[in-house]
Amino acid sequence: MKIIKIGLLLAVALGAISATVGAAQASQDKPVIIMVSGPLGDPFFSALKKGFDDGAAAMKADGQYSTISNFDNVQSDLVHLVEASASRHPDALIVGDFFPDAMNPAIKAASAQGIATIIDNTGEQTWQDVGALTYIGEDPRAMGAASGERAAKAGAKFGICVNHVAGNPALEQRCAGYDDALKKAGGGAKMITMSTQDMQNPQANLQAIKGALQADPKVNGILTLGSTQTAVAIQAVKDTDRQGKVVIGATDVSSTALAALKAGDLAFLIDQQAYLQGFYAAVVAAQYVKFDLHPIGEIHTGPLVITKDNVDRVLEVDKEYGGIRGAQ
Amino acid sequence: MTEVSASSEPWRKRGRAPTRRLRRLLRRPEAGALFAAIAVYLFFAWATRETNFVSLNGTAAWLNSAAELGIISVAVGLLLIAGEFDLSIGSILGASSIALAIGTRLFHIDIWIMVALVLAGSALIGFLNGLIVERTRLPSFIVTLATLLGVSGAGLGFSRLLTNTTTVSMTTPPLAQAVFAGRLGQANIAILWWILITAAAALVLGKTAFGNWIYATGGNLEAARTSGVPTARVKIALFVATAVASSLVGVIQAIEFHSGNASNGQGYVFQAPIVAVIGGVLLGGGYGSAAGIFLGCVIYGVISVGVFYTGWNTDWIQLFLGGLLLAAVMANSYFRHLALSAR
Repeated sequence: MKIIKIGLLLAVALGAISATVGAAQASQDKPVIIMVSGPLGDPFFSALKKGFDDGAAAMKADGQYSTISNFDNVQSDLVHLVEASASRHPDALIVGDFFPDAMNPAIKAASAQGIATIIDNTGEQTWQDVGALTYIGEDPRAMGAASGERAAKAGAKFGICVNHVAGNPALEQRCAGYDDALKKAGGGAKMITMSTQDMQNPQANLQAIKGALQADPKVNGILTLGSTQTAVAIQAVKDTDRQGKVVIGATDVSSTALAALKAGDLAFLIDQQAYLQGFYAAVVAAQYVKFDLHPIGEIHTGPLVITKDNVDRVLEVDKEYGGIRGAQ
Repeated sequence: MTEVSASSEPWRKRGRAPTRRLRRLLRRPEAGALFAAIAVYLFFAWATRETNFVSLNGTAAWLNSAAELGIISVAVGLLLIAGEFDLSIGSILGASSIALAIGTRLFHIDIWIMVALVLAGSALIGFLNGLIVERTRLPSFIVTLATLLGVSGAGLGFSRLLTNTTTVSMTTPPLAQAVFAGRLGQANIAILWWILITAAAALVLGKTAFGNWIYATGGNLEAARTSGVPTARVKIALFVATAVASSLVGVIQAIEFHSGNASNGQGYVFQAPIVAVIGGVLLGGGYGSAAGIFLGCVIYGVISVGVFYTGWNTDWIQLFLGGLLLAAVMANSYFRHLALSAR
């Protein structure tokens, strides 16, 4: 217990230091934009940050990406990060609203202070409540529904949805959307949740998916929501001798997933274009600060469906501009 | 000792030996873990009776999970017995896997050279951990927490700098594939690595002077030092061992899953000491066994994989593990009490 406590103290202290160091003066010439979003260990957020950096550079803004280093205490760490960022009085604050109940008071306080606030990636349901300018990202339920419809069209009826971030409402909604669509096809989906420590452990993910397949012989569809899980889901289907009988779909683009799509192991990829979420957020923030202009309503970057038919162009881009599409 | 009365009173030996053997078994550090492992396995065998958990492939499934955790846990357990912690294992694993992927794919370095480099680099980090703990006398969980953060940051930073991302895929020539990620049916070669490393650890602990030094260092540091045990060397060697063990798992996972990821391995930071403690290692040092740690990993593997074979709601898995940890630690404490009072 002691170790955990000291670890947290250190992590919070480090976070606070990194948040205060380099606190810049707010200025209209070079607006300071802080983005609070997911950890870069996940290639998805890596692509999002790349978009944010490129967007900030294009708008000649000072873009600063801040994130959590682990998921041990994810909700309060994120809240603290929002508070620390707001206390630096940036011109704009972009936040991924992953845990609305925990994070909304802090985001609301920031926008009430007069900081231009944008909700990015997650928070489609909540961006208006916290006084944000706009929401840029996916409609998670629509992503899930699109996945379910695709899966049903390919013959799936009973699915499992692999949720690798326990307690994240957006991922739960994707699973719910998948379930809805499969129910319409006369089946349904069950969600399996990875424990927080095992989220990035490929072996644990592989054995979990394999176990879920063994536990229910009816299962003929899998939806994965992270790139680690996509690769091992394909392996799990091979290991249980159900190749060709299980329709695997994914909502997170990675080079491995694209290659699997081309090889036919993966039936479809539903992309929410993380790079665009980062890029647009930086552009909207800078344009609002500089020119007082902003989009009305939400900007949706997904669901974009990638299948065998249009994968080649995506692969070309991935090869030429590494990291924009996700993992290498 | 039991041989004394072999000729004169054979009836006596027959009557007493089994109970004596049982009593001796109960006094071993792994006694609690052995009963827990059997109970947990039987429970899951029953709960999954329709879903192939007790089949060759089902067994391979939980062994594969236990093996990768086990390779790290044996080293971490030995270090715990010597009275120190190592939290840096998590980042060393991730950094090793991403370094291997970047080195072979981006710079086209030969896989064997890369593996050697990665293991040597990790050994160096372990050496520094040990040296800093020894020189500064700071608690090892603070020192290795700093390394955990530092190595993790460096791993993420370099991989993003070089590739814009934190997951890099790789391909492996057949020989390296066979050595680190070979498969027999669905059982990974990591299981063999795990068993060999556990056997080596048991040998070191039970049959060598170094093994005695480990117990002495963790049992009573001052007494060990004054009686001439090179405690600094013992600790540094064990810090190197934990670093190399986690690096090896990083290599194994990168080759097995054809990709390196800088954030892999963080889960092991707590899982490794947890299974060591389930296996009877005393968190304060000075007590424990390699067989116990092995059984701890078996228990963890059976539960964490078995739960998915039951088809139950997976939200409960953590509750299960928590309850089990408490039960195992309580059983261990009971058996330890038995062992110490009987002496």
